Amino acid sequence: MIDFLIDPLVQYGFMRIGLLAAVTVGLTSAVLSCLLVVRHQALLGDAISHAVLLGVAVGYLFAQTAGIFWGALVVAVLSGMAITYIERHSPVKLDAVMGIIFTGTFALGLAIISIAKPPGIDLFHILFGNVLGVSADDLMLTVASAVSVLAIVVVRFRAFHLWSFDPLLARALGMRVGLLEYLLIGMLSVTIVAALQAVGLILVIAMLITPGATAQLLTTRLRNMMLVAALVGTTSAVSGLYLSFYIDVASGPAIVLVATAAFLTALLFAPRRGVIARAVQRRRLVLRVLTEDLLKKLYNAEDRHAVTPMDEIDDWLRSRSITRRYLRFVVPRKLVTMESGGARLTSDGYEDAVRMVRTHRLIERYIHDADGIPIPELHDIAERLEHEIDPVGLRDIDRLLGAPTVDPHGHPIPSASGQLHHIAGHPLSEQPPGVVGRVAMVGDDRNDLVERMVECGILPDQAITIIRPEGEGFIIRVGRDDVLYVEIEVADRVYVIPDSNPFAL
Amino acid sequence: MTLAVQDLTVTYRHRPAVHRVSFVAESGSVTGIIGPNGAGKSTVLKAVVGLVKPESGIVTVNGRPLSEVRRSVGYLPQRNELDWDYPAQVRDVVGLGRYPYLRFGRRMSNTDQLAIAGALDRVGLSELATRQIGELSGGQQQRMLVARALAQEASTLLLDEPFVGIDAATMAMLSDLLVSLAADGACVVLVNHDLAATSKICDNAVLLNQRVIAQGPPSQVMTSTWLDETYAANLLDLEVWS
Repeated sequence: MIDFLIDPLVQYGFMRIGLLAAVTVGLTSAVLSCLLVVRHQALLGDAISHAVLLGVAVGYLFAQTAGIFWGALVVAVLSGMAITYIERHSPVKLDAVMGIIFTGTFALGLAIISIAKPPGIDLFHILFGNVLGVSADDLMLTVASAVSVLAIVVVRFRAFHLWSFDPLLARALGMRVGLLEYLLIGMLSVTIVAALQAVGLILVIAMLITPGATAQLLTTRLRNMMLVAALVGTTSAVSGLYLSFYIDVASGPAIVLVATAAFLTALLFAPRRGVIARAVQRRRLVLRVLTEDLLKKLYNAEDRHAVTPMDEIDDWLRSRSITRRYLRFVVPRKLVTMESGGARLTSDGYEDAVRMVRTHRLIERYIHDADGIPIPELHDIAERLEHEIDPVGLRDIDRLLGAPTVDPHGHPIPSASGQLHHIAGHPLSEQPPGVVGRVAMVGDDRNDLVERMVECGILPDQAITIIRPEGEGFIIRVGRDDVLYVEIEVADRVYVIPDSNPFAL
Repeated sequence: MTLAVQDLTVTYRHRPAVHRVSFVAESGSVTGIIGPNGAGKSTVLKAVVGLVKPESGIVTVNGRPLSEVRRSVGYLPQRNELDWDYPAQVRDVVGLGRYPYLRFGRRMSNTDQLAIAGALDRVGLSELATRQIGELSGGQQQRMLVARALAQEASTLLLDEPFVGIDAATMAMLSDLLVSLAADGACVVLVNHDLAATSKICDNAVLLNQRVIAQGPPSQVMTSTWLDETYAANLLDLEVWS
């Protein structure tokens, strides 16, 4: 294996030089690709490298082979500056300007080459590179330009960071962003010209986009992005070169293909942002929502060891098969145990359930108080939001509200440590006629009934007098004067604390 | 800290965007610049920090020109002007506030780290310091930008539409934060198109529609006459400059 890697280097000097050149180009272009990608300017490299063809042609006309480097560099910088200038001073948008400049200069370069037919220019090599034809002098030039580019990026890293994330603040702080822009164009030009021999004009475009785009999928900080991109760039260079040596493909395409493969791999498998990871996250979210809903369903404030009959769960979920699917997920996680005839929360499950109840009720309190959402709509909105909020957000809400202890329905909100104070009062339907008292809480499990309660003015702290049972319901007095009839479903869900002077509040 | 804007006129492509705007924002207070879309609110803010060149007018902070006191002015752009997929964690963005204090290529000192930690703590985001910024909620993102201005040790905070895309509840939290910063002596200036929200937290309101229609305490300024004038002026000219 080692021989397989070392032999070519020992035997062929051009392999040694080629490898060094390819790695150097891979490294610098990868680092710059990060800046281009985060600035949404991936095509700037594209534009400048096409313009370089013109520079090569013009340079050759002036001074033959010796003029190529300087011609290319001058035209690269000029085209980059022209793009920036036109974009700033005309209504034409950046993408159009880049397209026009790069096709125009490229065409002019081709035209000159086709007329002059310079013997020292091999168009195929300029476009697609010939890493194994790199001379020692070329290598020196490549390394020197790489060192200066990397040094600039390191020294001005924070400036590039601020400018690329928030150009407005950068300018507000008095940073000369025009200078940075031209610095970037200069670095790009030098890198592209230095890459001419190794990978060629067309393929360096890939090296100025792909490593950065790959790294962005894998990292969350600019510095790490650059390090990962550098790794992708250099690894692609090395493995592409060996591929070209052993299976005889052109070196430039081989290097680019390896980088592309790295990108596709990251796109699929990146731990957080990859396609697969995202699909898994979505599936996890669905399962989490299911679990949280089930835990809340099994939760019983009165009795933490309560067994909920299977029939009741089936009723709630509408079918036995759905119930089974839910349980298959939560039982192995030791949140729920199966007992004869039903399901019971384990102590872990109970803790989670209390946390869910707390989240739900805090959110209800919050959207009622802060957003003014009416009581009948609270439950459904909270059912959705409770799965989305993170613990920090919940803590913020709790602080903002001053750690409330009851929700708008009058239900106790468990404390952050899981402490729950007992529900006061008893259902209206269980109390004898003549009882005077206050509403302690109203059940919120059925929206239609909550709406009916709100309609009747039955809300927490309201004064209530039970006059007499009538038919399937009760005649009650709400407040001082409103005498009305409530159905048994409502009476079951309104908890009343006897209080001889309910208006004292 | 006193931010004074005097006779500020900005022109966009030969049309006046804002005309002879003057106001004063004092430290310890929250000033709201209020007006409809296209009234030139953001333009005023951008002109104050030098992002657009004014035709005429003078901006001073404590009597000194802005170019001398840039780092004491914290600018918070609208959230939609930033790329939230950018590879940065919360601490990185807050750290950018230290930029004016850092030397080329030097590492951050302890002072810098403390300033970042303190700023994160102040806005309640310490636990989220290593989160990728795109994973924050809208309100948390806005608080992160406030923390960045605090890390910058800015005594004047300019916020461009901080309440856009934030639910009412989170808005309350952000308002509390801004009010408490003002109470600690900061000069807070925010741009907003939502009247109700702004009037609740502002000590000073500037009704703007290309020119200043009225200014003063919200209770005096938010009268129907002034508001009608502010919001009706736009009906005459439907062109929107943003």
